[in-house]
Amino acid sequence: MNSSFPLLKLPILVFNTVVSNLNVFELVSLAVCSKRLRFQCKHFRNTAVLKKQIEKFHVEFSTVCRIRIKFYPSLTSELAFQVEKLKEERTKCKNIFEDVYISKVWSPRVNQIAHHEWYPLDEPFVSEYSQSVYYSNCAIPAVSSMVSFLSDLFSVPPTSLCLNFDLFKKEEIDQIMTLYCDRQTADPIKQFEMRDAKKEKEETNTELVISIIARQNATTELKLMFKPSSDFQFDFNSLCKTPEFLEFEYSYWINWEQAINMNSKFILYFLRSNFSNSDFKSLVEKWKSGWTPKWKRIMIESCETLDIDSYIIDPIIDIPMTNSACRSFIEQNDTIHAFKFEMKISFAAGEIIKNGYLISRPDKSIATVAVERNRIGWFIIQPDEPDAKFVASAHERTFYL
Amino acid sequence: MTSPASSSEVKYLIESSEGNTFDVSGAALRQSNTFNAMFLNIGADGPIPFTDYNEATLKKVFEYCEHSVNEENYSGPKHQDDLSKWDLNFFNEMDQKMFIDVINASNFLDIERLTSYCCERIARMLRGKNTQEMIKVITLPTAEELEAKQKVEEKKAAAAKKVAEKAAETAEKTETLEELPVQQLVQTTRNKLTRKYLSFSNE
Repeated sequence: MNSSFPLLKLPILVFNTVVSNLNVFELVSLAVCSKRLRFQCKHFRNTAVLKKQIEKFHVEFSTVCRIRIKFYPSLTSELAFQVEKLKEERTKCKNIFEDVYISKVWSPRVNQIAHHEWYPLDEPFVSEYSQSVYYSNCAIPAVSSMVSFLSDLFSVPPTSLCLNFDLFKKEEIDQIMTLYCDRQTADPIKQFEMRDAKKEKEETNTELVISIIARQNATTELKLMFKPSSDFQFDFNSLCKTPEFLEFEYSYWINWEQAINMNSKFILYFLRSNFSNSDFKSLVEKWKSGWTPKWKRIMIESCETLDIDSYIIDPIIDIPMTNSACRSFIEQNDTIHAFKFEMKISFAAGEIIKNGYLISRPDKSIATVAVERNRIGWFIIQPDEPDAKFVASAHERTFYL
Repeated sequence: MTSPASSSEVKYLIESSEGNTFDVSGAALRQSNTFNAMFLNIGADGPIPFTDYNEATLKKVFEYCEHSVNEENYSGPKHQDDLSKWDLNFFNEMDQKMFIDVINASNFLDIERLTSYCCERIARMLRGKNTQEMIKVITLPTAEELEAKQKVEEKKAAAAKKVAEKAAETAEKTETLEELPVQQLVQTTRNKLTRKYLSFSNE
């Protein structure tokens, strides 16, 4: 039989069965061959089952703009595109949309990567298909065209955006925010990450930063990874949405009251803070006296050593590792309100040792207060359900202290 | 032999587009879900008309079904490397036209195993290729071909609509499908499939 085949002459259901045998990069390659193929590939992907395969659709505007789609768990694949300035002659490239080019011999680099970043040597492994796309004029419209194409092909909007804001002009940022974050957008992104690339002595454009934070409306995750001046201020009550997870890479500008009263539904991480040992102690005391915050978990990188043993005035018993995640063990010992533990967690990057206490209140609430490397403090309000597993967390910052 | 049967000894007469008839065993025919839906429980009175396909194509399709009668139940697509020598010969001796006809017939008759192997074979031509190589493999239709195809599809859709309306009228008059004459039953089922196909491609 010939090595060519009139694929578009097949009935649509047969076409779908053919493309179901291709990997995600081959599907993208096929879809850029012609408009008709793009329509048919989109049609194939446009089922509820296939839409559910997409775990994350990430767009990054940075020194190099990137697009990444994670298909998991039913497909263990990842697509990664770098959007770069065209250096080759245009004749060597194929123009797929307005000002977006691919090499005529466009085939992917394939890597096997671990699904869990913290365990790079452990299964499950994911096939990462990566390749470059090019633009000749401006990066933002090229990224947007590629994102729209992938979004249309896989029938999902982008879920995550990273913006390195000081690499772009105000008008460009405005364009990006309009495309992905505006309340008017049908599917605004759920995770927003804000970075800067400035050098140590450069000033941050405070007005611009505030306008970006106020304009984004992430619901799942908000990460502020830039380094503002120490007098920077932002009223977090003015956020459009309350994210479930909030992380500050540089939190020295946030005061303690603002931190513990923050409106995140679940998790708060404050790195490089000005919070002291007495601040963290006051949190434990406040909770013991009956106060319950809106969040469930807080992590602080304190500016001084955290002496958590000095926080506990109740009688203490040691709790074995096997029982440290067990509500029933604590409830059996109702005269004791502090259970001391030591926990070791191993990651590829190293081992984290947590020293801490499970503390309980008369209303049967249980919380964990723990410290790592003397300066990373955790306070976790444990779930109330009788069979729920106790939560323990880790952050890579611990490895750098 | 055209009576309802469960025994593999039973033979059915198949009619091709040329009007020729030939025998196929019940066991082979039962690999076709279309056949199972139409005739398995009610039997066929006369030759079964698969008149959209020529004799050579139908014989090729049922040759595959006869061969795989004794294979284990189909459990999803197999990689080409796992195909037997017989399977490979079966595919290799077809030219492209015959291959397309076999896929179309297999798709209409809903023979999962054969359709799946054919599709995997086409996917293999695309796998690992860059875009330029893919374009060469696919042989994209010209604008004229696309226009002609669209016209044919529109005609088919109009014809199918008419037939569907007629079938709906007939269905109102007939209490159960079992009471329909075989020829009409074939047509009604085909119409249903056509409508399903059309609604799918119009989404």
